[in-house]
Amino acid sequence: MEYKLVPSICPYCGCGCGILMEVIEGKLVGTLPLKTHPINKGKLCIKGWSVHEFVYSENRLRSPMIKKGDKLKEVEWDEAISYAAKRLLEIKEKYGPSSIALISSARCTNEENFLMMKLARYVLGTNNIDHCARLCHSASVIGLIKTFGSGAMTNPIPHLEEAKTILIFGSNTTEAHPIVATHILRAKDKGANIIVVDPRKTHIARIATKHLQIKIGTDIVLINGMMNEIIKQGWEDKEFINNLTEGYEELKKTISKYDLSYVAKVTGVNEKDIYETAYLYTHQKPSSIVYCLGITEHHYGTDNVISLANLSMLTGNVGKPSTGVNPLRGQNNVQGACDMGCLPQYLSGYQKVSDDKAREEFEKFWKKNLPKEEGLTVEEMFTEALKGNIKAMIIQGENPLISDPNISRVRKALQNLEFLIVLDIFFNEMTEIADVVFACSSFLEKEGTFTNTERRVQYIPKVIEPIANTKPDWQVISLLGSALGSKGFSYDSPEEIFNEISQLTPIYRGISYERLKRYPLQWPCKTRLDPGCEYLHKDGFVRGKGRFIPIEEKEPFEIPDEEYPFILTTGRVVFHYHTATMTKNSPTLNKELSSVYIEINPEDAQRLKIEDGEKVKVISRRGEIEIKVRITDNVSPGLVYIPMHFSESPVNVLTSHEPLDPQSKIPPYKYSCVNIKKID
Amino acid sequence: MEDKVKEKIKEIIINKEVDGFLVLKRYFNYVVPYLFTEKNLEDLEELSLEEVKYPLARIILKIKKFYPDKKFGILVRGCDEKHLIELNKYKKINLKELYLLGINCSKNLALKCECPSPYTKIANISFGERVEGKNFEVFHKDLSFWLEKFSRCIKCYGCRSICPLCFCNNCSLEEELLVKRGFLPVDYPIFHLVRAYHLAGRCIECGLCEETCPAEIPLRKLYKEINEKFYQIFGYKPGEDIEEKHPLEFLEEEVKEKYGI
Repeated sequence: MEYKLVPSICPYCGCGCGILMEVIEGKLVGTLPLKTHPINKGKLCIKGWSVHEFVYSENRLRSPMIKKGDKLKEVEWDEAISYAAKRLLEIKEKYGPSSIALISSARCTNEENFLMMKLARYVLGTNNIDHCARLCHSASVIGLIKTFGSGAMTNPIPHLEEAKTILIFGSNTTEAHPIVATHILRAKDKGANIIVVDPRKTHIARIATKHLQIKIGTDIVLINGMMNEIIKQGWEDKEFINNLTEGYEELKKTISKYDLSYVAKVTGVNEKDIYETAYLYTHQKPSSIVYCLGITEHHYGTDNVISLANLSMLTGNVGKPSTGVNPLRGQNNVQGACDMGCLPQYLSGYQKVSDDKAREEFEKFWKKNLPKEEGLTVEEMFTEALKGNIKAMIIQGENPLISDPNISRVRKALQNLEFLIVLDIFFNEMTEIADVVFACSSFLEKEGTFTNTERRVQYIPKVIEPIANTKPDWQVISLLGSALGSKGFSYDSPEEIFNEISQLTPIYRGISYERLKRYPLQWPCKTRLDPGCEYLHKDGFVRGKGRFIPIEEKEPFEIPDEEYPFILTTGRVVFHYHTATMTKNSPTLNKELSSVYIEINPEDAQRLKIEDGEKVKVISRRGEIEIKVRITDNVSPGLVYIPMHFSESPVNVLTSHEPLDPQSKIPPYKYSCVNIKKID
Repeated sequence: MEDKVKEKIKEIIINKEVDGFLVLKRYFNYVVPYLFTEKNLEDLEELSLEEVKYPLARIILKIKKFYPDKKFGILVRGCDEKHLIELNKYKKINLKELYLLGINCSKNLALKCECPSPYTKIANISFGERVEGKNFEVFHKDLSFWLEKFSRCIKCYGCRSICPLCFCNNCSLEEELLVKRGFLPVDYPIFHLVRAYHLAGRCIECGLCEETCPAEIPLRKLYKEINEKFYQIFGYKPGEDIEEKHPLEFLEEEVKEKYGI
């Protein structure tokens, strides 16, 4: 007789909720919320309640495979690993290390991301390593490093409860980060102002105290307008500005032309609402800013983030409890994947590869010289693959054939490779085109750590044994590293890898498995006695002085015209997660929602004579899809919306991979011009 | 008190009065339900009496389903006991097959839970000092209050999934004719009223649903209001008395009497 409940961390969004896995005789039978967890305190969304369901799905990969002829054939691990290593070495020999690129997974553990980083830099000799943070919050990392000196969420989630005003920009929090929304709702129940800035009437917008239904992409104008009004009224925090920041005069000069009437005209938000929002944000403190991809996924995403940072510094709403600028990170471990240096310009802990001193630390430890030129970002990898410069890729737990912009281009790029290795837990679009597939174990079948959106590093124990002939990613990467001739990959446990991480990563130096088993810790945590950092910039900004960077309004890269008269934006729904690889294999979630839809305003639908539930064709300059219609006033006339999740009607056929944000290289997912046509 | 509880659990396991005993235990920094058996008695050191509420009755139901021939014990609080009393009436579990040890709740927990009877009544032994609870007034709010709360719902089904007394094989909340699937906001108030209606005369007001609700909807207060109405009509309070018949049972008899079917 064996019944146990084992604590773990939810594998979906960045909230990092505690879950309890129910196991009978070694088999998962249920999920319960973990009552004493600091973030979710016994609450979960529908995805969290259904975690156990995907694990035994028949679509799980069960054995490593090699493409022989046109078909993938199951092979033993030895054969798959040695074949992969042989091909990689041939390509490296023939075209050089920079012909290989790696994409790690924000759904894998810190240990596994660190190993991918090590595999790229130490074994293959390239900085071509990136991951999906490029596509969601790279603009946050860059924007907040430039202004504050640290690219992470400034304050912890529970702080939101004590905020008196919360500004939510481009985040449908109740659907995309449900448990963060819980803390916001608690604040609301205590009387806080919850102000949502979003072009859509999202779920959170409908239950907020105020919704500014902004014209898509005009956030900079709105924020500049708010700042101009704040200065005009003398509501800025002069002491904070004088003592802790630099660049204020230039900011003031730049934003002086954004008066209320102009801002109202451009943003579509009325003057009174802008004035009131500026008033509440500065008078009913502490005030927090929470934002998500509505801010970052534009070709000026970094400038959007900087604008929010400017606003917070102008009013002294940063570096204190229940304030700050808080990007809500997407995946359960996207913060960790960034921290681990799965970024082309950073080693772990945001130490620049171009910084000789930082690099030497790693070189000394690994006893090998590392490349110092910055590597390629995700979209640049595909561009170079199309040009024939990238020849081989290793892609771990990531499905760019659904999640990356302009999918047809991604497909061409991947098909142009000589060799593609995919590490995944499910059959999906990527395994179909791979040359080698490594069948990996899910998060419940291994030990490790995840770092949630608020820099909280959390330990997960192994709950069940790996299913079928799968192996945890950390073992697979170790085997591959060793097969490639490296001596640095003989790890016996994830803890051993973590010890290497803490040795090489100052912000993780004080963290150990021993400590994490007692309590999660928030980085920076620099010594064994350091209790970790609850909120950032407490004793002054990480970069020294907070830096105001004046930002001018930006133009869209394409504007609606006769051919493509609608603006399309994208997002996610509460019932599914990203490319739905896991959630589509969860019966509960699939029963709730199994096909995707386009939201169209009733006026537009009437004009186009489209009915609810009808299938239409949606066309952009990149491609076209067929999709079912939902008629709703969630979107205003001229705006349409498609959730990103499903492969049947993948919205990213329509989105554009260019122009990239010049600073962060994030693509403009949130904005494309499309046409809608009836199907005869 | 902790030592006495540990000793008693050890004793009934060793004496084979039960095959497994469900109680909270520390696990890393958390407190989670744990099934003690002959094989893991040394873990009793980690037993926890912290006032953390888990749906123990729901868990024991699941365990019992997997191991129908085994005998189990639970350390119950007043609310766990009430769950079991109701489940017994619905014939989902046989109370006679369970070994109940009781633990009385502190005044603090009783106030937090708005519990009028924070103690056990039928358990073999009750540990801890018995304090009286408080009868809280039923919370009468108008529809606009409830509509605002319901509109926040993110359809996690947590209220149902955590509830020991939600045991239907087919859940009406998943019935597409009643509640459209795949939409937020959820169809309200129908979603919430369907559940409230189903719990009338069944809910023992433990508040597990309210604690697990990510939308912070005061569900216990809603069900309390419905229960009050139920009491006015049928004179029945769920979970209170193991002998008292459930209205559905005597309705059945009435029907038999009147119509002979």
